[in-house]
Amino acid sequence: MADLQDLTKQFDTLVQAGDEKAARAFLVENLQEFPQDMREKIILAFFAEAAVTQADEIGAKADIQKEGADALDILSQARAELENAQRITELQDQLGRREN
Amino acid sequence: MVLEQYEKEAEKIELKKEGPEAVGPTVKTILADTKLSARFGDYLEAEGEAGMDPGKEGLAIKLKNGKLDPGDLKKLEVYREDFLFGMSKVDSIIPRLDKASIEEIAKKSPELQEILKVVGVEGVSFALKNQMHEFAMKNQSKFQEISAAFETLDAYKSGEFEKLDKKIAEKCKKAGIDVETFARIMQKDTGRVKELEKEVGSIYKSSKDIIKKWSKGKVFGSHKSAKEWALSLSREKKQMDEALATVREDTKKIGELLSLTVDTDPTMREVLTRELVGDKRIKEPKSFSFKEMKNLGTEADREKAAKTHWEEYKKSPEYQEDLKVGPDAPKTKFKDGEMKRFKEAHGGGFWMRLMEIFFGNTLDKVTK
Repeated sequence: MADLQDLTKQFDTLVQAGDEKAARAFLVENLQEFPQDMREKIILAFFAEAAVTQADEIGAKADIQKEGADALDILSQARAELENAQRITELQDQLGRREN
Repeated sequence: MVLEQYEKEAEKIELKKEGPEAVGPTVKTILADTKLSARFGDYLEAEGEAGMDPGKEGLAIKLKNGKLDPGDLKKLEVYREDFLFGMSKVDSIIPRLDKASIEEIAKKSPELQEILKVVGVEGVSFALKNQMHEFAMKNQSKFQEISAAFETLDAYKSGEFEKLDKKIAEKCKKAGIDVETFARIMQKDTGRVKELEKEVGSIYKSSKDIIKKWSKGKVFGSHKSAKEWALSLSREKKQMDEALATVREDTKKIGELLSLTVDTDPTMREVLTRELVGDKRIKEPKSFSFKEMKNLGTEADREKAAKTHWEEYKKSPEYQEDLKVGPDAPKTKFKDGEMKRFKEAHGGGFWMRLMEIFFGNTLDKVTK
């Protein structure tokens, strides 16, 4: 098992280099080298991140669907009312023409 | 030792209980259980840190050092119920950390997928079960986020979203939606994702404005309903024809967007949700980014700073006072205080959680 101090130093180097991708990969590749408690906490951190991302995506999709469904209902209603009003106007025009 | 003290003190003070006793372990049982007792301490500490009750922090230190007095025990009785409620929330998540859930969630994380290859589902499950209680008690708001994520995933699995998908599909059909664009793109073998991103992005942007406009009823102006609005327009045929054309066009656009959200294809779902979530995430409170980690310095810098603080604290009269509580009380108090300052100064998020793991180790080293 690698020395924890060495692992921390290597991780720090990646942080200072600003290489996020490499830092993530480092944590995964060296997971088994960390003491058990730290290892479990690292797994939980990745798990929590993934769980929240997935729920966000599902939630966002559901939000847009709900909003969209409501908007569609309003649009259907508006369309029906407009078509009715249009028919009434047409009938009034026809009646007007007959009277004339 | 704590238990013995509790039994003696409980006899003396005859705790008066108001109302029915809360279900779950009694204070006596909690104190007799090392792990449960530690979780109770973590809970009190987190509550105290969150400013819910500053007295809880002191109580947590006493609990962790086995130096409770009769008055404290009475307080523990009061806090026990909320603590057990928090624990029950964690207990409800633990059985859900099964193979299927872990594999499903891992789809969103390339790192977790790699971890699964190394330690297997059992290894991940074991780690989560081992850490979840402590995590929940120490990071209550973060745990609530995970808990809410599970609620959403459960709703998804139980078919709630599938029902919504079906409803949307019916609505699109009823509204006479044109999904030709969708079908055309889906038939392509190459460059599909790129084209979908472009297509979905543009439909989404224009549809978002329409949804906002129609769902808030802004388009009806001073009229309360679509009917009133239609009647007001009926006097002007030209205006009415224009309104009808707008309704049809907007219906088509929203329909296109909604038809794309239906789970017909995983790639489509991925692209669309990325678009939606990308938009949504901007509004979330800023969390500690990877780039900001650079500002924390190296492990050697953090260790040096922590060492200086530890030495200063050891020279203070406060240290001597804390020592009276128990031999480990100053260490606990110092570590908790340093971690609290660390978290307050740098915010939350994935990288902060990672740094907490490393910093916790640094503090252990410094106070050894």
